[in-house]
Amino acid sequence: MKHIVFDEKKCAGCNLCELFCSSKWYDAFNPKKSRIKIKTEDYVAPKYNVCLQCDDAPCVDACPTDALVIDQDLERVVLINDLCIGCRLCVKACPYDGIYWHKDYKLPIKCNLCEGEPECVKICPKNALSVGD
Amino acid sequence: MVYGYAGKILHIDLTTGKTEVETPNEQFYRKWLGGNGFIIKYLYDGIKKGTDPLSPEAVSVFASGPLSGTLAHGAGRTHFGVKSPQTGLLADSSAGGGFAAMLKYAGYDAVVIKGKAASPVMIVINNDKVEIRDAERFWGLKTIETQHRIKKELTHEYKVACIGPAGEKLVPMTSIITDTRVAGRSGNGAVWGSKNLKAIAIYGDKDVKVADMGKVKALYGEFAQKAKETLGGLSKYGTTGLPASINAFGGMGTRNMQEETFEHVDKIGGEILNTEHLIRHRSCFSCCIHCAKDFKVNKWDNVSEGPEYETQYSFGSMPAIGDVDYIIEADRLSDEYGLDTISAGVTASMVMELMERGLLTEKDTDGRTFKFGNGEDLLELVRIIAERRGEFGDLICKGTRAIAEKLGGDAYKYAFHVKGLEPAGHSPRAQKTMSVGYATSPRGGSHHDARPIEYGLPPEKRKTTEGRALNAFNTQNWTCLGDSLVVCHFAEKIYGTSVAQAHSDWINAVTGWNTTLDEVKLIAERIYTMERLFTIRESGKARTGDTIPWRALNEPIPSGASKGMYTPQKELDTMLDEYYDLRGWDRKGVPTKATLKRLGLEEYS
Repeated sequence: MKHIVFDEKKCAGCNLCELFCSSKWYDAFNPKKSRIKIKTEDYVAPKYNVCLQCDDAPCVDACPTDALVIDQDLERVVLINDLCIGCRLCVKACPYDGIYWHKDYKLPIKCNLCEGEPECVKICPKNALSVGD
Repeated sequence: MVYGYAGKILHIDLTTGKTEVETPNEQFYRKWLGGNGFIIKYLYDGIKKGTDPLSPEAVSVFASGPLSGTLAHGAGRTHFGVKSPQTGLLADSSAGGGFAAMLKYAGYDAVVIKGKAASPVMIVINNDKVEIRDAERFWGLKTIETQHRIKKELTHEYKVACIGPAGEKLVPMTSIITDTRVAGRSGNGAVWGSKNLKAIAIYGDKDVKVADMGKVKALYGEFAQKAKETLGGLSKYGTTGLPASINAFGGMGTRNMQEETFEHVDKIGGEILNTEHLIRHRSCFSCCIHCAKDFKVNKWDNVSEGPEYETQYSFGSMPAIGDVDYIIEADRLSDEYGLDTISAGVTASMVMELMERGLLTEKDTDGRTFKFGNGEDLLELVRIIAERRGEFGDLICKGTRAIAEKLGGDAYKYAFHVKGLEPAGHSPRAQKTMSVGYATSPRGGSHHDARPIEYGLPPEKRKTTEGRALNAFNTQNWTCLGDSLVVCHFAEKIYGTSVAQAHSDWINAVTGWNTTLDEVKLIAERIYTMERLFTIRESGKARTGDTIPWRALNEPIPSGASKGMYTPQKELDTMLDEYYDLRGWDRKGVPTKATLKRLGLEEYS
């Protein structure tokens, strides 16, 4: 399914995507509340983590309340807030480190592609982010 | 709570191991803003006159500003400040990266450290939890390795700032490094070394809240658009593209300022770096410009972030090194040891000239000769300084002023320093703004007080002193405000080079205050004058200390586009008079009572 794609050759590691993401969804600047993470380290290319909207999603299998479902029409893994009990099994199950937990909330932090127009893709100054398969 | 700020300042006493959290009121924040404002306040009030910079009583401060942690341009920068072991005056130096943003996310605006640990330690800050932990196992390690090992122990989510072996050996010209970014100037590193403080690691997951998110994003949008239109050169080359143009301008210090044009400039510039050495572009946290670069040292297969222009000058044209591999390698070594590349390079260049003139002989240098143009000689001098090797290393690691004092005779003529700090690569002879700017900088030869804004002017328009004091006054206020916000100075082409409405707009959008342009200008003047008071208190000098290197006062530039230019004492005096008038300091260079009152500094009269 469609998800955020990252070009490590273009990314310069400014982390602005994290700031735009956290401010859009949580009204604060806080990289730990961002649904996308860019890891920068000296002398090597940056790396990224985000929900990859897997076709065969381990988080969906792990969720005991069916709060995570694959929506084929929307082409993404959707979190149904009302069903989530905050057990964090999805966070543990994700092999790509693409779902996060922050103590301020009772729901996991997971990319939903901004429901169609991802903010991070829009603002990346280096055009290192895009939506792709 | 004041929007934009964390609302807390952390105090740590390394002697007792105690920590304390101060919660300043809104008035404090609006008066001192952040960064260098916090630093000068805590330095001035926190140490007694004449305190030895390397004693336990000395204070080390690092600070964020109101914009840190937001998406303002370059708002990941961190401001580090101490009383300088190199100059005996104010040292505040700014590093890129994202250390201050992380400090804010951990819930603090600044950290004030005093005392001395009994053995090597590191400070670990995880939100509200602050620990002083043993760091014996990291002592002696270079800076990149130190950060790797600490992150391996604590997780890579931490941001780390540390010193290298040079700081441990109390070399005065030492830096603090965070990631691959450096707070280079005036000896912050040695002060950490004197406190047995190897590193500080920070993790934070708290919010930075702003008063008007819509406005903040609109301001960012405007900035990013203008950055795209006007700062493309910075994005492509960083500042490494400057040597060609500054050389053509006739102001690229060469062979320890014997000349100001360098015949091998094309071999050390941005084009060759980008075509033969560039690995990747790098950003500081929250900056859309990405001016930093990772470069490869082809000769030895090493990687360094940098050099930037100042290092192409200090390790390039000054010691006359026309092989860029040696410049990158000297830059890398300096970062690894935790050394200021500007002071190290200018000092190495002075050593080369002194040997050429016979003022320094092999008897003084443990049998070695150091020559202009020899890359191996340069690398060896960097190592000798960083390791403080032998009697020779012990002398030259203190910089050009100390060398001149030790040797006596004519050596002072070849010591390129202002108040004990070696100037950057913006000539005080070719630009009179920099003459009066360096002379009045509280830090000495700092290019981040007054800014070199005469590059667009032909030589005939640069010979006058008219308007130069005003240039220095305006640009100093502008950089001063930038250092209190704490944001990068590379927005010059966007906001201009004096305090602008945009600064006030950013502050208001983030904090919710209603500052005016006048109030913001006043903050900059306040902080700068407070720094002046510190200079006067610690040096016992005002006007008599406001001078520039001998060569800049006495020796015309011999060739190139700025041929014949220098700044005789008479011209400097004219500019100083004008400058003091602009600042409201008397003609002896001392802030008047009326000025202190106007700036809300009555208590310091």
